[in-house]
Amino acid sequence: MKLRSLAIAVAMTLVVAACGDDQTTTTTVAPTTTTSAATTTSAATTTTPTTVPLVIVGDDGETSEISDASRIVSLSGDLTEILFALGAGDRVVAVDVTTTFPEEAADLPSVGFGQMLAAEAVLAMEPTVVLANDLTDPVEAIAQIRGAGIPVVVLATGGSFDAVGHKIRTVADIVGMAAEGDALASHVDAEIAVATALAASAESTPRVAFIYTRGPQLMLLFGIGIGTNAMIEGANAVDVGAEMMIFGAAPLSAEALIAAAPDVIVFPEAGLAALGGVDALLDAVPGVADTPAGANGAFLAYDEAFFFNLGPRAGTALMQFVLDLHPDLAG
Amino acid sequence: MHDDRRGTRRRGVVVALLVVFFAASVANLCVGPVVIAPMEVMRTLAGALGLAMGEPDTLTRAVILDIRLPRVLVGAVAGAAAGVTGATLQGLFRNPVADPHLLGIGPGASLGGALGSLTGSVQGAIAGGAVGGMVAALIVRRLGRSRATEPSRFVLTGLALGAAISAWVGFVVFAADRTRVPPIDFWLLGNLGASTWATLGTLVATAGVGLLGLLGAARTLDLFALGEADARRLGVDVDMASLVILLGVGAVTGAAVGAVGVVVFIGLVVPHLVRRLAGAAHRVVLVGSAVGGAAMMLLADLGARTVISPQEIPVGLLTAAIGGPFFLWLIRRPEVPRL
Repeated sequence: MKLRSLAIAVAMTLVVAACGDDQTTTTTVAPTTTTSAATTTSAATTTTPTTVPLVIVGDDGETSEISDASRIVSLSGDLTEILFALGAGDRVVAVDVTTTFPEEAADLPSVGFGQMLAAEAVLAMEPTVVLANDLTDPVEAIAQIRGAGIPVVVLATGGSFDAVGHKIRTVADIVGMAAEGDALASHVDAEIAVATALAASAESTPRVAFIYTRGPQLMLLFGIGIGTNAMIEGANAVDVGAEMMIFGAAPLSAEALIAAAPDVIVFPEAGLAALGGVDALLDAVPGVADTPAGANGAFLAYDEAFFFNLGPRAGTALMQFVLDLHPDLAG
Repeated sequence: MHDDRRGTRRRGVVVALLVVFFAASVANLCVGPVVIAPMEVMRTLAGALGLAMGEPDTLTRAVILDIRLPRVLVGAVAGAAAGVTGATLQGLFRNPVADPHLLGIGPGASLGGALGSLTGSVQGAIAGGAVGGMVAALIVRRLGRSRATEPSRFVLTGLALGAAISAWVGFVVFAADRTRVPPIDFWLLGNLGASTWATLGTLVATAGVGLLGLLGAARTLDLFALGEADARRLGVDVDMASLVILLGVGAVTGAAVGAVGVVVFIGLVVPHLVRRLAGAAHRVVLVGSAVGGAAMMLLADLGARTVISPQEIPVGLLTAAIGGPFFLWLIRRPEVPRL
C-alpha cells in the first residue's frame, strides 16, 4: 500500500506538472477544461435505479450483484444470440468479434477479441453488466472491470447440450425475463430432443471429424468440451476428435487424420471458403484425400456460430446436421 | 571549462529524456477508450492520496488507479530495465550490439517466466523469469569468455543460444496448461495489458535492487571499457565484477520479462541514442538509458493502446517497428559511437 501511495504521489506530480502548467500559462483555455471536466463527472453519476440487486453465480464461481441490466457488453457470441432471441437485443451496447449473429448484433460496436481483452475497451462502452465466457482472457481484465463496479457474469460456452438451457435461463434471469427464458430454453431443448431421437433411428453411425480452419495455416481438430462434440454425438455419430482424447482443440496432423479415418469431415463455412472451397480442399489439407471422407467427397460446411455456439439455434442446427449426415432419414 | 560544458550537456540530455518520460506518462494516464478529462485524472490521483478534491465516480477511479496507473508504472520499470540492461551488456562486452534479448538472456527469462506462470500467479512468473534470466546469463558468461575477442561471433553464439531456449518456451506454451501460461505472442512481443498493482509490487521487489546495483556499476563499466587487462591493472576483480553484473542483468531482465513479456529493441536503441547525445561515460549512459527506456516503453504503449482503439496490440510491435529501422540507421552512421 505504501508503494501504491508513493506511486500515486509521483503520478500526480506528473499530471500537475503537465496539465497544471498548461493552465497557468494559458489562462483563457483553463476554465474551459475545468467546466468540461465537471460536466463529465455529473453526467457519469446520474444513473442508478434503486431496486434490489439480482444475485447471479457465474460458472467461474464468482457472485455478481446486478441492479441494472440496461447496458450489456457481450464477450461471447452464444450469449449475444440468446439476448437477441429473448428480445433483449436492444440492451446490447457492444460485442466482441465472436458475435456474428444476428446481423444487427454483428453490426454493434466491437471491443475486440474477448480472449485478448482490454478492460478499458469494455468500460468505455459504459456497460451495467458484462457477459463473458470461460475463455475470456486475461483474467486480470475481468478483475479490472469488476473493480470498476461493473458485474461480469462468466458463463461457460460448454461442450454438451446441457449448457444450452443453463445459459439461456441465466441470461434471461439477468435481463429480468425469466418466463421468456424458461419458454425459450424448453423450446430449444425439445428441438434438440426431437433431432436426437431422429438421429438414434439412423441405420449408420458415421465417424465424423470437425476440422476448424481459417485457411491453410490454421488447421485444428476439435474434440471434447466443445459444442461440436455435442453436435456430432447428438447426431448419432462418432466424434473422432473425442475418440483421440483431444480436449478442446489440437493442431491437426495429416497422419493422425488418416488414422482416425473419418467418414465425414465438417468444416466451418468461412474457413472452407478461405481454403478455396471443396475443390481446393484435397490439395490444401494434407491427409484429407486419404480418408474415407476424402475418397467420397463427404464434406459438410456450416456457419461456425450456427454449428457449435450451443445457443438458441442449437436445435435447428442439430436437426439440419442429422439430416445432412444421415441421408436415409431425409425421406 | 570544457568539462563544465560537457556536464551541462549531459544534464541537459537526462532532463530532456525525463521530460519525454513525464509527457508519455501523463499522456498514458489521460488518454484511453474511456474518456476522462485531464483535470479529472488529477483529481482522482489527488483523491487517492486523501487530498479532498471531490470524490470521483467508481468508474473513473478504477480506470485511473487500477488500470492506467499500474500499467504506466510497470511499463516504466520494465522500460528502464530494458534500457539499463542493454547499456550494461554493451559496456561489459565492449560490443555495440550486445542486448539481453539478442544474447539469449531474454529467451532464458521467457522460459523461466513461462514455467513460473504455471503457479498461476504473477509472482511466480516474475520470480521464474528472474531465475531463468540469471541461469541464461551464466551460460552467456561462459560463451563470452571463450570467444570474447570476436564480437560478431559472440552475438551469433547468443542468437543460437536464444533460439534453442525459445524452442522450450514454445514447448511450455503449447504443451502446458494454457489457462495459466500466457500465449506465445506474450513471449515474443510483450504486453502491458495485464499489469496490476501486484505486478508492480513484485516487479519492483525483484528488479529494483538489481537495477540500482547496475546503476551503481557505472564506474566499473568505465574501467571495463579500457579493456579487461587495463581494468584488472586498475584494481578491478574482473571475474567477480562480470559475474555480479551479469547476474544482475539476468535478474532484472528476467523480472521484466516475467511481468510484461519480451519487448525488443529498447536496450539496443536507447543506450546508443544516449551515448550519441551525451557521451560514453557510463554514469550518464546508464541513467539516461533508464529514463529513456522507460520513455520509449511508455510511448510505444501509448501507440499500442490507441492505434486500433478500443482494441490493443502488443507493445513490442511498436518498439520493433520504430526501434528496428532507427537502430539500423544508427549503426550505419559513419561514426559508430565509442563505448
